[in-house]
Amino acid sequence: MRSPETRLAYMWFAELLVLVFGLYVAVSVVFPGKVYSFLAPVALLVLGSAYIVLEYRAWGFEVRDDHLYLEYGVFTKVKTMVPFVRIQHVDTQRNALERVFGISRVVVYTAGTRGSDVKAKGLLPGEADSMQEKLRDVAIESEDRDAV
Amino acid sequence: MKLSWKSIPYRAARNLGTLGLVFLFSSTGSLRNFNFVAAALLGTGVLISYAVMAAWEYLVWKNYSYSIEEDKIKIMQGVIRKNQREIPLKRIQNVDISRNIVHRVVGLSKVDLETAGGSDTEASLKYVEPREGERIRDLVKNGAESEGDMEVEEEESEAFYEISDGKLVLLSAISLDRKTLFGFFTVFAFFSAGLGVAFENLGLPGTLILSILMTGTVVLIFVSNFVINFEKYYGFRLWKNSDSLRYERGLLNRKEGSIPLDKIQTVTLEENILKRLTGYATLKVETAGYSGEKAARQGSEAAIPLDSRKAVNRFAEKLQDFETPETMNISRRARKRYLVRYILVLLPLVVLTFVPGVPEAVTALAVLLLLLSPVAAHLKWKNRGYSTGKDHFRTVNGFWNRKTMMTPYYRIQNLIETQTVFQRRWKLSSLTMDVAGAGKIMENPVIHDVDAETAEKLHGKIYSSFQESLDKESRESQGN
Repeated sequence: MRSPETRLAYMWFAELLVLVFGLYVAVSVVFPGKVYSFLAPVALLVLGSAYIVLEYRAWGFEVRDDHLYLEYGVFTKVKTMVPFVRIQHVDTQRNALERVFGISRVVVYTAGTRGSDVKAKGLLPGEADSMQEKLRDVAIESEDRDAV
Repeated sequence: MKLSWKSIPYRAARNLGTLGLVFLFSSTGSLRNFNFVAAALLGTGVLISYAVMAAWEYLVWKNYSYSIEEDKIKIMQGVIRKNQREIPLKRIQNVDISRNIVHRVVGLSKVDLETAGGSDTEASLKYVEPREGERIRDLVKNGAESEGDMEVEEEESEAFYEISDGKLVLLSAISLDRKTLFGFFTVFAFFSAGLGVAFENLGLPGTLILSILMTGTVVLIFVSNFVINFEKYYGFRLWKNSDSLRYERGLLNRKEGSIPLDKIQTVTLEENILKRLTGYATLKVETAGYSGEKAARQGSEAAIPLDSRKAVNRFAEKLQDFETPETMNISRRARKRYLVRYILVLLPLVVLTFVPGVPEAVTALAVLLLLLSPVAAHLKWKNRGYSTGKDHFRTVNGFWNRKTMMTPYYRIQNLIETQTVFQRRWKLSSLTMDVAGAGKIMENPVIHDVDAETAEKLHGKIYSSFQESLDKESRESQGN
């Protein structure tokens, strides 16, 4: 099982810090000079960090013999198997923040509805590209099928 | 090929009609000083706009052409921006021909071609001559090259099912849309208290008016529901060819469609509580074609709108060769889970109703619901199940509208095992078999709340059945 790069967790943490700061500003504007205006952002920071750790540890993926296996979710644990023959196309995506942190994600599309949600996050860009290539190759191998 | 020339005046008239409605709504105020001059002006205006519309529609028609080649259908369109689209024939999931009452009078058909994926109909030919519509349907079904053999194909088709008058009436009466009713009652419950008080304040018998209103609305819902279903399923007929299902239905809006057998994703047996009590059932087939918006709007097509449960089962078996292993119950712990869940929701409600001022009847109702929760939990549990056969698996879900879905392993897109926080306490998991074409509203087959270990085993078992079915399928297609 492959875990995402730790940078993914750092990225989430950076996002959390922005949120915490936002909350701090909001609270100190609405309730200026109150002690509990500190408590809310602190609570968010603590809970958020704990959630990030759990979320990060829950994520895992593996390219197996004939399918892609994914595991994720803190509150709802999900384990997904995507057979290669069902893959319609494969994307690698990097948003601005992911570019800053030097990570990439692979998104796999199937004809199913939830299938569009199949993602492997927190890969190194090179790794993501080779994973995309591999998945694309196995998808092409089975292209003569209708895939639905 | 061109669309029918009649589509020019028809489409122009339809556009004008839409425009006219907008105009009518926006100008009702000025109707008071209506006279001959105004009428003449209006008439000229209508004529001119119709001419403009017709000219535009002529350009649309002129620039629209389609052709069915060996293995694809090609559509070229666009007055200002040219657009060319090619759809491989074997990717087309189903072909629908619809004709509303005006279409039938002037002799036009609308042909919709659906492929998997995409949120809307891939190609919609508006409008062609009825004969041409049938030709397109047959070409798509048989592949363009086999045009010569079509006559033979027609003779083979056997009438599979035909709705009788009695069943049509029964169907219209009992396939009541539960959501409409629930929605109505919720809204009613919400407003009734306030309304009642308002009526009393006006010195009117509030309760009486309310009950009349309510009965009236319920009757209205029943009647309109009846009319809608009657219109929809009037003259329903189903044929089965060697390789496709064809149906025809509708009173005012005549619809014809064909569904290739090898495109069927799931076969669903639907029995709402009324149907279960009367021993009837509905059979629906789902292809990957109706996805997204369209599926949400009209739902999957019914293959058998209504027949006795036994007959429907027989049809289902004929359709896909189901072997029928016994349905297994989900984990017994699930029943306890539902009971706990109901109690957790209802108990605070009951406590709330003891607040002074709440009528005793409401309290009694809440207590009654609480007392009934073991029954509800049992029924919910009892109406969930699954079984895994050789080529198909089956999932059963729902008390109010029980759906038994039969799906070939071959159709699985994606296997998802989930466990929520609440399920973790009870060591339960759910397994979703993602199937193509199940739009956001349509449900995927799900095995709810089985023992976590069982889920793990099922996950592996269903996946290996899927792989086996793939091998089998590719052997068969090579054999051809």
